[in-house]
Amino acid sequence: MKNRFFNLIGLVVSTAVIVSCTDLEEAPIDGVTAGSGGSGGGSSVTYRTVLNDMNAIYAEWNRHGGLNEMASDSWAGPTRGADWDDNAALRQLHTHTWAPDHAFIQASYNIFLTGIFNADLLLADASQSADHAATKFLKSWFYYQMIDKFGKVPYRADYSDLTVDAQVYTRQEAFPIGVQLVTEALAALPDTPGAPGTASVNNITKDAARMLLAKYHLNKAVFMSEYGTTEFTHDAADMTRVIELVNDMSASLNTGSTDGAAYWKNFDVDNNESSEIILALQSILGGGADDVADTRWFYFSGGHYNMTPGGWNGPVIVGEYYDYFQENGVSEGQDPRASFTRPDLVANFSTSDGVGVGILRGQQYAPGGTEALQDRNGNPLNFIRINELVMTSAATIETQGFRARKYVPDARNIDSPANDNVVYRYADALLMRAEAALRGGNGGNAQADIDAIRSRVGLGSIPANLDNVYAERARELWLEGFRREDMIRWGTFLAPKTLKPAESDVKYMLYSIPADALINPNMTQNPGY
Amino acid sequence: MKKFQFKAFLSGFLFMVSLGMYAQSVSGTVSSEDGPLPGATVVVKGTSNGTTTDFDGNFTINAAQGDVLMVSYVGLSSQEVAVEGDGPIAVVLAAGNELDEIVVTGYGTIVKRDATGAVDAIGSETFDLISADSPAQVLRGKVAGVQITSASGEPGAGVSIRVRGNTSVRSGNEPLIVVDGVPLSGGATQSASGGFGGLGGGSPRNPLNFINQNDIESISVLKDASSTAIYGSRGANGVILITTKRAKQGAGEAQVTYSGSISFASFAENSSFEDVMTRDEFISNLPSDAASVRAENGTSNWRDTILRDATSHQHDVSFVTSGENSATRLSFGANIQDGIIQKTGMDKYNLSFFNSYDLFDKKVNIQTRALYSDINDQSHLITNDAGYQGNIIGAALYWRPTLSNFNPDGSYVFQQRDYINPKHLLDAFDDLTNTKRLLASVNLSINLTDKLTFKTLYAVDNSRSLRESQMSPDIMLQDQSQNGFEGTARVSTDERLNKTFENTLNYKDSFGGVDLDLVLGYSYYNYYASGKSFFARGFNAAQENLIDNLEGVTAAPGNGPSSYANEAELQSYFARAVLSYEKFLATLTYRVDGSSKFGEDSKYGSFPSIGVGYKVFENAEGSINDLKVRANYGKTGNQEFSPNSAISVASYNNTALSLVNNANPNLEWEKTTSYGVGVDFSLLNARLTGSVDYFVKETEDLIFPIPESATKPGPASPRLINLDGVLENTGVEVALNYNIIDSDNLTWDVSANASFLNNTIKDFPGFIPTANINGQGLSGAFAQVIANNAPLFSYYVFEFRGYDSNGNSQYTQPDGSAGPLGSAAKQLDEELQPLPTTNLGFSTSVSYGNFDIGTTFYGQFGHYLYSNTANALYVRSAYPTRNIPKYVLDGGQSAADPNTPSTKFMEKGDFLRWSNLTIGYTFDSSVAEQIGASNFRVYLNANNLATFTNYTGFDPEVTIDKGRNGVPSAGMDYFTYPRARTFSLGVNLTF
Repeated sequence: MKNRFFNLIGLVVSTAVIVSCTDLEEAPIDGVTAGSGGSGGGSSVTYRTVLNDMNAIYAEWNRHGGLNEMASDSWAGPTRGADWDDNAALRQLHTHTWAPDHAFIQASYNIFLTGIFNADLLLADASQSADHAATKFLKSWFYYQMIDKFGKVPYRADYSDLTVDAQVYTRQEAFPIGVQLVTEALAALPDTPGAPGTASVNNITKDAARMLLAKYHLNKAVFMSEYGTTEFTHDAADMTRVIELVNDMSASLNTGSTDGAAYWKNFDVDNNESSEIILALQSILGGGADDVADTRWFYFSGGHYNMTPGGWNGPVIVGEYYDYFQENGVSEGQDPRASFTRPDLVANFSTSDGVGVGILRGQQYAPGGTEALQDRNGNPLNFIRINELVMTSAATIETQGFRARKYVPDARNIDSPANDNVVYRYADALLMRAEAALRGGNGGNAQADIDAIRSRVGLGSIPANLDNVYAERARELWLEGFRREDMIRWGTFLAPKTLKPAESDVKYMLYSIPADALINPNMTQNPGY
Repeated sequence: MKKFQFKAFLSGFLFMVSLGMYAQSVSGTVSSEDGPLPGATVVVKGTSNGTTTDFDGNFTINAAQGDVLMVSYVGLSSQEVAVEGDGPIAVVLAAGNELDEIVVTGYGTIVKRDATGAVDAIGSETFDLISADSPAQVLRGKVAGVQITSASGEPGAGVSIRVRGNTSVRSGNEPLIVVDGVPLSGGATQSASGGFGGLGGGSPRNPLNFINQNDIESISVLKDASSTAIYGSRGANGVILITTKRAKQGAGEAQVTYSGSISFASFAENSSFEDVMTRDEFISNLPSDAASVRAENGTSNWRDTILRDATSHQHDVSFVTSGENSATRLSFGANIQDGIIQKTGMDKYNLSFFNSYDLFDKKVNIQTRALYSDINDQSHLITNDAGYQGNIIGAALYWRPTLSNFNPDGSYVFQQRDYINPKHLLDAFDDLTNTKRLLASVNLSINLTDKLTFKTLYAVDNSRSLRESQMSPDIMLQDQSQNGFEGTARVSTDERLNKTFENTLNYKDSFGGVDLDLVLGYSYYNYYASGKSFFARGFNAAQENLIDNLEGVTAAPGNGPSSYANEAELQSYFARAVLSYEKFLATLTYRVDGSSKFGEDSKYGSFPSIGVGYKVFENAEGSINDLKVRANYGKTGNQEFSPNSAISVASYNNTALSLVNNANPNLEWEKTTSYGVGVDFSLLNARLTGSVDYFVKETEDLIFPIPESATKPGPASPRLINLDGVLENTGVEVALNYNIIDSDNLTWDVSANASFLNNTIKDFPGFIPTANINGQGLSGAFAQVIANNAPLFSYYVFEFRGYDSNGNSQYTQPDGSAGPLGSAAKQLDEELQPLPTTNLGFSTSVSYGNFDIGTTFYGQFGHYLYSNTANALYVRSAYPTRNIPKYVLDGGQSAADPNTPSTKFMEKGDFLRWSNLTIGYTFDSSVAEQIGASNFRVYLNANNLATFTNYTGFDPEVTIDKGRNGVPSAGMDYFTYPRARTFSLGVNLTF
């Protein structure tokens, strides 16, 4: 009995010794152990990954439109009763009251930097060297966005240990890096799209690099300035460089009818054939592997529920911005960039008199153009000027504000249209060249460039001066994402506007760094926030 | 280091074995003035070696000559008796001294009088007489410093338990639950609901439901580091020890008990509830131009549509038998509980088994336990994050009372895909979850010598859950169609397999006036979790049963398969010494924990603690009978986060391998340093007993998923880090018990407890939003932040300042004035936070002749709740399209004014609830014997009788999970399942 007792003890003790002493090593069951450095241990970054990061900005109306247009004088996101408040995010952009918790600003910040990260991974992969030039262009584009909007660019010298906090370039330090990247891209990129390496969607050309480089130079005075500067002195050499770069471009304005057809070719379902598009994100009718872009929001965001195509009845074109189209003796409806129509548009979509695409205003009609539409409260669907950002009038709650229809809806497939998403156009380049000449650059002809833009849409000449370039850019490039930059260069960004009665604090020249980013001790908040 | 530790333990173990001493079996009886005492506790002093007396008051225990036996019984004075000679020991306990209760602590028991830490225990006598679905609920209002909040009134709803506040920002704040020595893994055992688009997803039920309340003998709560440090890395949130009922050797006669009850539950409106309008109110307020609504001649009422009066019943049978060397308890419980929302409820079946068997002259004891449960949960669309179309509760509230649910032809009234007929939704949706769980253990105890005991425990905790839900294709919902077909079916399974292996060596001795109780231990735990889930969308409109005919789904279904599996291992070495010398007491604890979840460089953490006590008075006559002061200091940890968080993991997603987690080899333990002082006292001839505690807890190295923005440029996948910052909780706890009357046939006891808590996060670098707000026009909205120098989850919204003359909301502007929304700035005010700062509990019991009456109140104060329901639905512009409460209509808001998240939707959460009243009558034994019983009691029990509050929602006790990016929230109310008032009639019989 005693022996059995001790045998039992022996058994228990030896079991304890055997079972114990695990090494506590961990291995995933529902995945695989990945390598360090964030590359995903075999997970692959392709050119398409980086391009998708760029598209992530354009495809979401509140990022591209939000940060570049809504913060300017062009576009606004009013509340509509209980709808469309989005935790005040839309109003805060237009009224310059955003704070470091702003969701759209944070989302954009993350996307720009994800783009830089993915570009770096690709650039480190020699097997994908065919796409390196285009990737450098994209990385430079992300740098440009960070420099422009946040004034800082966090970076990592190497990605092997992500627990090390990222370092941070100032705006002034980041600028030459961005310029260097796009300069290298310019040297290596092809003149025309085609044979672009591994990705069939790689259509980045030398012209795209020239455009980005020209934008760096055009905004250099802004990007290199110290905090608090609101008026900028442009270096003549930079302006000359802008002119040279545009001179080197091979793109050309669309030719054809001056009733607007040439202009709207850029935004039509076949805009991949437009000769003035320098860079666009590709969209395929009905989707597919090469379908990158999504341009639906350019007509859905403002469309009313009862329209065809319907929409979200959300953001609006601000009245004072619309007024740019009635300057220089041009009467309402005469500038086809805001008012253009065709029989097929009237047949397929809701339209108003003379406006199939452009800035929708006034009474809207059902497809066919005769049946007047009503809003959901039974009032006529008559888009009027917006006069309040927080709507207080129950009668006009659904109808306040002119609406943007920047792209021609694709009647074949409204939800997956073929319209490519325009990033850069030659018209922008011409106006940049005019501006550079007026700001002291050599070799340009501002008058010729402005006239070329206007005559294409059947409008007469106006004097070549900076004020007219500013206004012409408003008319030509509405909702294309350049208005905030323009207002900053012209020193008008902080000024009062219809829906923002007071001058804004100078801190709003830059967006706030997202609060989360400050957990990185190397990152500091922009002044004033 | 790891090897060294194990060797040290091994040599300690051998040292112990060499100290051979001889124990003998000692027997005796324990009685009170009234006769033999069954269930009295007998412990060899300074050890955890203990037993309880049988039905005749007999006990047998292994003790050496000269050992001191501590004999105790709740409500009677403890006695210490020396073991001398061979004869049986007769102990007569005198009346009353509450402090002498013996409480279960980690790896042992302790007489509360000798405890140096803050430990509270409640025995089955305090909860046997009431009905509750979960062990958590019986603690409510009973223990100072423990806050129990049910997520909602749903049967089996999740419960949040906070011991001394929120110790962690995100790494889990639930205490460690230990059932019969087996630490549970924590976390849910079943899937959350979801997969139904904008209708949202819900929380899983309370994983503690698997324990039958009637199987619980006692619950101990370890609150301070001196008590919890023995659980090391899992002790930071406190420890709750649940001990299930046992049978005792040598008791003789077999015994059967039966208890049963039937309950009737109905919606309990609190005193300030604001309902939506009745049909009459709705019509009488219609504006003149609302012709189309006015023309509607339907009728409906949200309460009739989704609520019901629910009936539940519960039956428990237990059987106890014992011989000299063996004792067995078996019990079966059935609890069939219907919820007050139709198509919700919980059917729960429990089986428990206990056997204790002695071998080798009682030198070896083997205890075998099994707790098995089979739970069927029926749920509905009770979701946390429903979008603009609401969920079953939202749909019921907003449905116009001028609309019927059915058309004259019997079909459902249809309005819009996002304005849902609640009756149709109720009928169209089914959600059933079955969870089977087995917790089985073998506990072997060997008395190597009379001073040295070795124990080993091996336990398996296995659960399997299957959740099946379907949305019928005959209802049209927003964003719920696939290829033009409606209907969704979702299936998910979850499995947990947890193994526990605990080994302890206990040595106790007395020398030179010093009593020593030493425990050395080694533990190993293995936690495995896995699950699969998918949904199929798009069925023929005529198909009724989707879940069992899944192949009915349309080609190219929108199915979302997902699965997970992970495993975590822990191993620990620990030691504890309990010392007493005259009036001095000391407890020293040290635990080394290793966890596979941590980074390569910090697998192990050390958690020491010390507790000291001094008995200023002990068993003194007069107004101060006992007075003990105690102080403690210690470090505990937290490791409640997902496995595979420290390593880099990639998994396949849509055919491509992509990174899902980033490595952090430096990931360290979250550490909580606590210190505190307390006093336990017994006054006025031991009529007034109680304790007062003050504590400080400081948590550092906060484990946090580093936000994406902070690691850029880098991958989007998450990474856990130890964030800077100190989360500080300070508090005061007071517990009092007063025995007002104590005569032969009348006793009256009153007990009350209060705790006061303060919570602040300091030196915190982040500003982390949480508490998502859902609803129309509220995309991206949130209500709370974690910010430096503010309490956790402080509200960060616009400050509402009333309406202007046009009915537009005015908010505080950056300059402090009131103004329009467009230029308003959000405000962070440390006073506006959702965590109660004061918790009160009060209970009293009266026993008069054959009658017993007990009642309990509890309350929470000092916090604010946020009503996402009001924010999302109760907006003036909704009327008359949708129903809203009358106060919104009369409040002065313009029909164009949006409901921007603001202080307008915040309300004080203070409440006092009359939670329980029980009136029992025990028949005289002569009556009981007529039905062959030895004990026969009937009772009437009322739960949630009244709630005193100013909160206008369903119920102020609410905590809907509105977490954002893994960061939890608090105090959020959104379509919460309403709470029931329940009346039960029950019987207890012993044969």
